[in-house]
Amino acid sequence: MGPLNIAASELFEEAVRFQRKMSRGAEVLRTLDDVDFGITPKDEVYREDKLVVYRFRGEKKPTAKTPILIVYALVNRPYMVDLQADKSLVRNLLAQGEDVYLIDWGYPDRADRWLTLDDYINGYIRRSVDAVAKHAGVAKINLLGICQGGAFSLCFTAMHPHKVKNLITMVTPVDFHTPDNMLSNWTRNMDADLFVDTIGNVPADLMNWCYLMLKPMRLLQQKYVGMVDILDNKEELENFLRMEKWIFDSPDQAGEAFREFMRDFYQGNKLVKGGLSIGDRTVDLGRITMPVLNIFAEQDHLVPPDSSRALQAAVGSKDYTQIAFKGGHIGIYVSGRAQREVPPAIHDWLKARS
Amino acid sequence: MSEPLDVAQWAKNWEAMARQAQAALGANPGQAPWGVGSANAGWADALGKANPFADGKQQNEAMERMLSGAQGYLGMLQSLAAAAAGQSGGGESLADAFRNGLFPGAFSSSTMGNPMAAAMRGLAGSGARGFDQMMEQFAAAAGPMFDKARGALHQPAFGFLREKQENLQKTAQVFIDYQEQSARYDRLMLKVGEQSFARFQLKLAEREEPGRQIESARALYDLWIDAAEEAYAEIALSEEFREVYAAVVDAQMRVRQQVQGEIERYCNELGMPTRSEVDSIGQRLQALRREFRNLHENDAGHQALLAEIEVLRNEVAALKSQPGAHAGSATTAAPARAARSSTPRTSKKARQAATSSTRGKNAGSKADAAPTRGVEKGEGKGKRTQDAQSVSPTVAGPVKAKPSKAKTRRKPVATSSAKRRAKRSRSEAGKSVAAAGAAVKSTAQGGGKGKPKGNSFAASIARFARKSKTASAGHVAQSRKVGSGKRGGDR
Repeated sequence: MGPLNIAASELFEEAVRFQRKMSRGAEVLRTLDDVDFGITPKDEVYREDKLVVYRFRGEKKPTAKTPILIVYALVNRPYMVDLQADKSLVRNLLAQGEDVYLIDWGYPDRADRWLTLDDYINGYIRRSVDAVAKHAGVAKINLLGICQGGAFSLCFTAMHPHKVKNLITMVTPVDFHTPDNMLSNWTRNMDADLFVDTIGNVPADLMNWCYLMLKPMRLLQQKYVGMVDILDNKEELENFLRMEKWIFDSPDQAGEAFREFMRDFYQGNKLVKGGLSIGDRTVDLGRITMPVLNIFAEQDHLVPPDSSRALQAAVGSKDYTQIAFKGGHIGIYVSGRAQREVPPAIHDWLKARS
Repeated sequence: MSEPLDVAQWAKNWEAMARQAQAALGANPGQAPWGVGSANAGWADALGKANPFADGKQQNEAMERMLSGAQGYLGMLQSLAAAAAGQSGGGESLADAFRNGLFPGAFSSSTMGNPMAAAMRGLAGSGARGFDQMMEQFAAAAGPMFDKARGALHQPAFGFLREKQENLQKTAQVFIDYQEQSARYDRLMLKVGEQSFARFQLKLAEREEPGRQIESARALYDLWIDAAEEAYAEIALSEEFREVYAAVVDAQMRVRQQVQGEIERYCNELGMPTRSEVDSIGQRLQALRREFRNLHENDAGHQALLAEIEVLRNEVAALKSQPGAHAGSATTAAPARAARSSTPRTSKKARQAATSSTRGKNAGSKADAAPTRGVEKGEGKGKRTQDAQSVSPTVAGPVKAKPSKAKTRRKPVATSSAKRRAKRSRSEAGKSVAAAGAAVKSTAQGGGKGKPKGNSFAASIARFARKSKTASAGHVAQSRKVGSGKRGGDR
């Protein structure tokens, strides 16, 4: 007996089904409007260069006294946290009574080529934090950093601990040298200076391609075979396209900041090893003594769980909480489980420390 | 960055598979069991409408990605159909077909090719566009030539065109390096392909047990994806991959940089602005913006401090106005003590500034600034400091050092004795200033009893005043006036 138990008739039936789905799907695709995203209403509270800080409006007034500022990664657009009505971390946090702000970094261009991590962290983030604190009428705020934005939030909090009441990190890389970190393995021996000196800002397409190459067969082939399955379902197809739009809607990376991030984080692993300086300040995670909530995804192929787990030993806080989410790097925002589990967990944790 | 969509080819593939199906199922050639012929035209037509040149960009992109991605699956279906057709005709079974590696088309070049090259192909930026074509042209035209004359690349350049020759040699060298590194990367990807098959065979073997068999083409496809991903991950996480990946990226960066450099050289000759110039301006602009922002924030901080001082002043005034505020009020007494104690320190700073200025460091600036501070902080005492220096500028600290320096300058070839004299002169100048400072301090503190002794600054002033018949009365008067408050101690 061989490994295959496929009758010829079943095989052709399967092929026919696939073909019919594609036929109908082609028609459905023609009838779809351009997908929208970022559904929660928001107001601009601060603007500087291409950066805008928004405050989201919930259906009811926030009950939390300390606002949350979401610091997203530079490598993607932040509307992942507010993708659609039933997939929105922001919306669910608002429903819990939280007061939510978000930094939108915009799309850097050639003029931003020389922005450094110092400009981003001690400049943009610090002034955004001040703006949010002033807007909310408080001295300290809660910081929620996501992915690379989480690493930035850690640096910021270590350098300006008096401005942060509680720190939350989501899918945040801390130890960049865990053996399962593919991106780190690829960049470890690269000449960061040669790379940035040559191409300046790092093109979004190149970044996207690198992410796709982490799992090339799944992300370049299998995903689109799976798409055929939902081609005749308009709603699911719209969700799929919305996600596609987000995945490939990536800003270019400011050259200097990229050079520093690659050299000091990916290659030097200085966030945990020590010796990291941003501008003229030293980053010592031991100075993070306020409560810390660290949420990571167990099936994260971009930021391996062990990379995030390293935070526990690195921070100086005695009030450290860790949540392992059953899902992936994106699923932690958009999956049904994420909607049910993540916002309430954040709210409850904050409420206990308000 | 996916491969261009070829809708016509897709339609042909389906046609071929449909014929196989007809043969396998023994269907009437005139019928189209699953969309062959006229029915097939329907979906092919739909795909045609969804091609990149039709309306609706987003949907077309989605369709293009989908078709490109699904090529592997289609290839597998075709392979299975061919095997099934063979089976019905008495040929080998599906399982046999897999054992024999009969799996054409399942692994498209888009996924098993060199992904890095594909990524770089889409890079934007100066010197980047057309990179792929540039490499192809180079490989076709210059490659064989350089391969034969590789040794010539290291020959020394000379003569009028030395620079150009060197640049050409370097350009050729980086191209060759990139080709070599790219080939290493391709070999590694080939290894991924081989190991994917090996893993796939193992996984198939595991499914031979009853109850674990694969019952659909889709399940088989998913198993193949699992095998390929596992093989890829193992290599992509290896140290070998790390080294090869870095080498191919670095090599390509060197090619780009070299090409950019050539373009810049031509642009310079034509008087055209270059990327380097624009970058340079951008860098300066960013530095200025940073500086401006810091100044602005510092100024804001300064204003905040002033506002805070104003608030504190008001609070102090309010406290003073309270009944009994002067009767042993610790709050008001403390600042007064602080003010008293700060004054002598200021004078010391002034002396230090004067001393350092005699050593030729920042001459004038510190000495000028110090008395001013003295005046601001302690009127009477600071004023004396200032006046003491203004009695005779030729004797005052900052200027005192000049003769010795001038002396040294007059004799460029300084003898050892001249050096000793200069050193002694500087030493005496320093001592006199220090003594003057001590005298001033003494005066400021109400001391200065008796006649100044030795070669102190004050003594010098006194001697100068006695000896100089032509000394202006104003100077002497001023000097006396300075000391009049405290018995003329500065003389």
